[in-house]
Order: sequence, then C-alpha cells, then structure tokens
Amino acid sequence: MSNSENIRYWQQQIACENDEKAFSELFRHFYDRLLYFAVQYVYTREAAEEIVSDVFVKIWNRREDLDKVANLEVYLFVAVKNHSLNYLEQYSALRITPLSDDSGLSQLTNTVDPERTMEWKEILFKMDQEVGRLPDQCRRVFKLIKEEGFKYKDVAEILNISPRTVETQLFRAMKRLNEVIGPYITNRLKSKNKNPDSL
Amino acid sequence: MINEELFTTLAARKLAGEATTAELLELDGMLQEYPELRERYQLLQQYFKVSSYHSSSDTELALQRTLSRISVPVSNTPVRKMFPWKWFGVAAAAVLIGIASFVVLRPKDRPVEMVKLMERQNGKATRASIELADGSKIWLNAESKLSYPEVFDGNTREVYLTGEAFFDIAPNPKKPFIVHFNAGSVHVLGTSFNVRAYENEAVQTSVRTGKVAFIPNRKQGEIPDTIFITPDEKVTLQTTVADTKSNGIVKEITSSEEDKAWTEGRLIFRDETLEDIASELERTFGKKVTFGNDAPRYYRLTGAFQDNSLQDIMYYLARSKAFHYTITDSTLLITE
Repeated sequence: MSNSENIRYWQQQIACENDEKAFSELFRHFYDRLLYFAVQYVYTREAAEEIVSDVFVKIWNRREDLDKVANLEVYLFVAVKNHSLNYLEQYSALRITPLSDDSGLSQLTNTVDPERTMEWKEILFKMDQEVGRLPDQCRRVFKLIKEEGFKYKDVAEILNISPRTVETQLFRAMKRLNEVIGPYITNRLKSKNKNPDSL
Repeated sequence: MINEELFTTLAARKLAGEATTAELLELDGMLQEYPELRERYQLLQQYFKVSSYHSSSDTELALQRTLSRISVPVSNTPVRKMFPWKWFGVAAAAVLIGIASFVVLRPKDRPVEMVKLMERQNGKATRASIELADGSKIWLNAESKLSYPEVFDGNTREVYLTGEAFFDIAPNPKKPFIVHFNAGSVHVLGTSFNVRAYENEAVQTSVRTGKVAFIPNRKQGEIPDTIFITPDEKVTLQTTVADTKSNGIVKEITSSEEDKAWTEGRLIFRDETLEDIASELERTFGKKVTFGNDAPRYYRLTGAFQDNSLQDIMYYLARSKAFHYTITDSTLLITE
C-alpha cells in the first residue's frame, strides 16, 4: 500500500470501526512531522507536544466526521497550525521557556573528499542558519516545501494564503540561499582555474 | 550575463516539484551554459535532500499519553492541561524574585553579599572564560568584571556583571539564572545570550538560543517592565541621564552570531561610528584612542576582522573612509 492508501485506510477504520490501532498508526505516521511544524509556531517542544496531542484527541472525538475529510494530511497540518495560533494567543504573556538548541548538523553527504565534506558541512550550517533567519511565514513556506514535499496548492491551503504568495515566499528563501552559497562557488571556480598553474 | 531572477525561479520550481517540462528544459539550458549555475544548483539540490529532522524517540510515549486521553469516556469538560501551569509557576516565580529583589533588597545592598563571592576581573586586551559550579560557561570580555558564588545554593543562581559577557547557561528550570548589572537584570532558565553592560554605555542584551527576561531597574515603587527576548533579538536600554524620562528601551533584530563574535576573537562592526569602533579597539588592544579632530568620530564604517592586528584593522578602515591614524606603543591617534 502506498502512503496515501494507508492514510485513507486508517481514516476509514477510525471513522467507521472506532479502530484504536489505526489511530495509533496514523499517530506514528504523522507525529514527528506535525511536532516539527508546531515548533515553527510556538518555539518550544513541550508546547508543541501538547498541541499535537490535542489535535489527535480532537480527531478521535470527532471520528464520525473524519470520513468527510478529503485530504487528511493537509487537514492535520491546518489543525496543528490553528491550535498553535490559539496557544500563542492564550499564553503569549507567560512564557519563559528554554529552547534546546540541538539542531545538530545532518551527517548526510555524498562525497568522500574530506575537504569537500568540511566545506559542505559549513555550507549546510550556513544555509540552516539563513533559513532560521527568514521571516516566520517565509520560513514556514520553505520548510513545508523542502521538508514535507508539499505542493504549492497544499501549502497555500495549510497556511491560508494564495499559491502565488507561496511561490513568492519560496523565491525569497531561494534567493537568500543563493546569496549564502555565492562566495563558495566563486572560491571553487577560482581554485579550479588556479590548479593548472600550481601543477 | 546570467539572469539571476530566472535561475532562482526555475530552480525553486524544479526543487518544489512544480516545474513544467518547458521550464525543466530552460533550466537545463542555463546549467549547460554556466558552470557557476551548475555548481550552485547542485548545492541547492543537495540541501533539499537533507532533512533537518531529528527523529523523535518519544513518539511512543506521546502516543501512550494521547491514547490515555481518548480512552476515558468523553465528557464535556476539556482535559485539564498541566503544561501551561507548570510554566506559569516558573514565570511567576521569576517575576516574584525580580520584584522581591527590587522591593526588599534594593535599599540595602545585594542579596547574596553574605555568600562568599568569587571575582574575575579583566583589564584591557584580555579575555577569560569561566566555568561555574553548575556547568554553565561564561566568556568575559576585556575591561569586564564578573562576581559569582563558588557554589550555587538557594533557589536561584545569581551573578553580577560589569562590562560584557557571553553566557551559555546549563538548563535548570528549578533554579533560574540571574545576571545583575547596574541598570537591571536578566533572568533565564537555560539558554545562551550576550550581555553588554559597560559603564557609561547603553546596556544591550541579545539572545542566541532560548528566551530570556530582561528587567530594567526602576525607581523604588515602580513596577519594572519585563521584556522577553528571543533568538536574534537585541534589547538596548539607554542609561544616560538624558533618557531617564522616556524609558529608552529599544528592541531590534540582531545577529546573535555576530554579537558573540568577540568570544572567538572576531570583531564585527556594522555601520558603526568610528567613535564606537575606537572604544571597542581600545578595549581589545589596550591602546588609548584619541581623536585629533571631531569629524572622523562620526564616520560610519562596516567591517569584520578575525584575529587581525590593530595595524591591519586600521589599514582597512582607513581605506574605506578617508582619515589618518598613528599607532604608538600605547596610543592610537585618529586625525582627519
């Protein structure tokens, strides 16, 4: 079964059979992604955990309506967004919360050249840093596309903006990333041109 | 000539899986033509493949928690949330501590005077890093002083700062960490942040991770405003006499990486007056700076330096704005 078939199946099981097992599967399938998305709004893991849990409780409590949802994936992201915004409204004045900043760099590289690996790590770090500096909405758009692989129209629906705005925001983010990698490219091309001389 | 806009649009569409066949062909053409774009696209593509998730090991725990909430018969009363109250308590405690230290302790003197305080004082051109009993790490800049207890007993961790320091505080929600300085204090639970509180200068606090509460001192009886600062935000509190009427607090966006650059031997000036730059150089290099004329004081300059000598730095600065300078063993003279 493909992902979307699975989701459809769980959705029906929950709606028609009160199937707790299907509910657990659905939870496991989406938990990390939704948690990560909620953190984009509330910035603390504890609050994000609470929000995602709330959303699933709500899904269960209203399970008889679940069959009517056309795209459950988008629906869940929208629900998490709405809960996050409510949370911010309610508790914005009271938060003093530490953020654990263990956004460790991913080790994934597909090159064996140690110099390139070092450079890639640095570039990756710089790019992540730049993404972190993007305006909130721009960063959310970028992450929904890059991390979640959503299409423009899904992102538009989740964030309640037009597909055109999605594209504009993505363009902004890409432009900033281009600026980050610019100097590295210049260096690479320079050292390539230099190599014949040094030989 | 590379059409940057077009490249960015096409690359974005392709990576987002939204490009049409015609657009894919157009992008291919561009990549064929320009090796630079090829390299750039390759990096962007590589970046899109990397996921910045950290897999969460707590999924099962969260699931159990959620299941326990749905197994109980559904009633009309919503499930009681413990979480916000937990933080409310901590927040209230932090605020209370803040108020208590103003109301009760201010007329006398500092609260932990009875505890033996250690002291670290840096002169010009020296920096130090200090590790506290709780594992927190502090970088102390030149011409700065930090007083701290040998061990933290009691319900808070309190230190006193004059000058500039970068704090990387070990998380401990039960014991808030408090930095006192002349104009106020900063309260945190576990974060990293920079405090700049030199005498006769505006006080600045910026946050790299987490969140801190900045509480400016107020006259007795006035309730202090608490300002929350989140990553890459900077709060500046004017402390000069002229500003006492207005509260003189400005919150702005900053780069916390740059604000802590000094801990790594980097000096970064962003559109700063030569006068401000000079006082930073005076602290860093320990040479007395004097201006022969007033005009250069207000030149605005930008530059970043890593482990450069004063000679190098002045050489570059004087190339971007026309002024002259003379460096001797103990002084730096700047003239028109």
